[in-house]
Amino acid sequence: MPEIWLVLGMCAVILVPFLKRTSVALPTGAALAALFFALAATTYTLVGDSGGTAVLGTLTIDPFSQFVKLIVILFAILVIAQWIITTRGQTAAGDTPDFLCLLLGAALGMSLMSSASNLLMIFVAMESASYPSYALAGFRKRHRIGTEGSLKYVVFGSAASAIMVYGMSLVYGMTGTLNLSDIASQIAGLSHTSSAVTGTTPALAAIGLLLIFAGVAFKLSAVPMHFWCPDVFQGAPFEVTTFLSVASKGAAVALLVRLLFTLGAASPVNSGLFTGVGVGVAILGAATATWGNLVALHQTNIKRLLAYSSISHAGYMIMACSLIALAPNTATAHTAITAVLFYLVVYMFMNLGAFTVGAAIAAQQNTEDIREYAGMSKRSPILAALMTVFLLSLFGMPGLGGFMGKVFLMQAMSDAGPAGFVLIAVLLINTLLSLAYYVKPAYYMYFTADKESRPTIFPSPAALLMLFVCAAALFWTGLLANKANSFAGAHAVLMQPANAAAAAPTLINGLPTVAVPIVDRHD
Amino acid sequence: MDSLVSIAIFVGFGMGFVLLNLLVGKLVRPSIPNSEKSAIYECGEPTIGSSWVQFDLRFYIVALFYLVFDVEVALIYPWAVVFRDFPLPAVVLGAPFIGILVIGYAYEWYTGSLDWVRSSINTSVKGTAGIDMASLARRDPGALEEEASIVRAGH
Repeated sequence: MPEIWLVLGMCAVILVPFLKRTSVALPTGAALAALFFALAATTYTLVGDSGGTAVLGTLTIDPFSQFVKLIVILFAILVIAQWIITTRGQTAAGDTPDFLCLLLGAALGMSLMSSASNLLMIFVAMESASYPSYALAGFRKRHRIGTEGSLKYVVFGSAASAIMVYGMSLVYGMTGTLNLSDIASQIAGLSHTSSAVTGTTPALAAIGLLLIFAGVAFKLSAVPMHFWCPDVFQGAPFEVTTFLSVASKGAAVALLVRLLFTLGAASPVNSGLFTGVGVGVAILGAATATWGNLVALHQTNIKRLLAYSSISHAGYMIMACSLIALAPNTATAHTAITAVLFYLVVYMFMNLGAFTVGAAIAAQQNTEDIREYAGMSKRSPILAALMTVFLLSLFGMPGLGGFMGKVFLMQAMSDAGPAGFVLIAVLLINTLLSLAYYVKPAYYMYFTADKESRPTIFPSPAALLMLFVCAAALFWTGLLANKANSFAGAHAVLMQPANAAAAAPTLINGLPTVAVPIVDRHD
Repeated sequence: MDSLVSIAIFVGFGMGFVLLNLLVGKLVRPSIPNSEKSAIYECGEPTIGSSWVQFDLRFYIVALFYLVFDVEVALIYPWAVVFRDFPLPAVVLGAPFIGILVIGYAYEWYTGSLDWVRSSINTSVKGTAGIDMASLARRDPGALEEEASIVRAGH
């Protein structure tokens, strides 16, 4: 259970100031130690791939959840490293424990999201991932855009949570259980039971599910719920933006996969409701990818550009997730989950690299405008080359990890019949669209002369090391993708819900039987 | 389903009734505004100042703390009822929960977030709290002056 280490780390980080008041090294060390212990705990459970449950069955521990946790925790470590290297000077020493505690708290929530298999736990996990994110987004005091973004995030997030809780209450009211697999089997039973007997209709189930998916869509910044994303990304400090762009979305993708997988495991073949869910998710993904790419075309701020880029990448992953529902067999679902996990790994390195270059430039040139990158190829050739690598990988240049990620996504889609080919077409058109804005920073860096004698930028050796590691990871996943893909494939295994076979609805006259704990009174 | 329909009719009728009466009132009543009538109603007392005043942020901290510990009570009560003999599992389950809250509370107290007069001078002397004046001055000298003026206005 890596989560326990994260909780201990949170406590340790805010206890450190009692020892030494304005130390930066001590809380950072405590946070990193906790994260490394959590990483070790995750890796340890990664080896034994027996699925199991924890905390009264509300958490499912399986290879898939452990893999996502590995990504989240590893990324938290990398983000702290990025923070130390690039922007730590902007954080006041007294705020360091706050910052690290919030970061660990968000990582805790995201880890829980990847294994939550109970409606209550899903809600608690999403909130414990969201609340620290709200505070982190507005972490820069006296920063107007940051405060604005944070407020938008809070308001939007609260509304999304409320919508999701309403959906959960509908589903709970219908099925009388909070357990995801029980809900799945009851909903599956619903489609071929006369609605007059149960008093509930598939329509009500569909509305409940739709509202739950709306809450997940907020975390994914999928299209009708994406408005917070660019403002938050622009206002938040670079390391927070980096963290939210990958870890938050990765956890949300994991939650989406688990929801669809659990629903799918119980649903009979060609169930109308489940296919409807699949089509809905596919449309959501396609709309998200297209909208993100179209709006990104106009952006000149590097953070906003990468925010819209992250929206479109979330769209690609959502499209692949929909295959779990659209796929004719479990093998295709496995391919799709593998592709999503592989994509997540590649996406982590691409985004980390691109944001770190942005942060390094912002720290020394004090700009986030890509037009100010003019002449970067002369002023800082290494940074310019590395940024180009990351942007081309985000686009999907052959030889880089982003290309193989998209290839695996398309491979999974091609197994899914006609609907899959529509998705492939959407993905290809979007990839072409995205080229237009991914080359824009590169264009300014290489083909625009620097007329205002902007400063030469010297990234620190540590920053360069980090960027080279990211670039190496992209080349490795791009050229030798099979190894990483088989690793992802070995972990794209979700625990089959135990009671999927017993798909008989237990509703009596439409009233669920709710277990009320009765307190034994002796007096 | 029948009960849903009757609830819907009830809700619809209730909302319609209110709206209809408001509409009738709007159509029938004379409109003669004067300064006395359009004044803010404050329990019959003459009003003092505008109602658009800035509310001290520090009240929110108090309210937030009240909320946290109120929720703690709400959660501890069933805990105490379930484990009435206070066995070891009760301690194992309860101690981390209370402990984490206490750690957070101690941290807030120690860093000066609970001081009512939380001026920049106060915090920079202590060198602990939220605003690190030295780094603030390095980044934005104007903010320092602003902070000082807030303090002056406060006293």
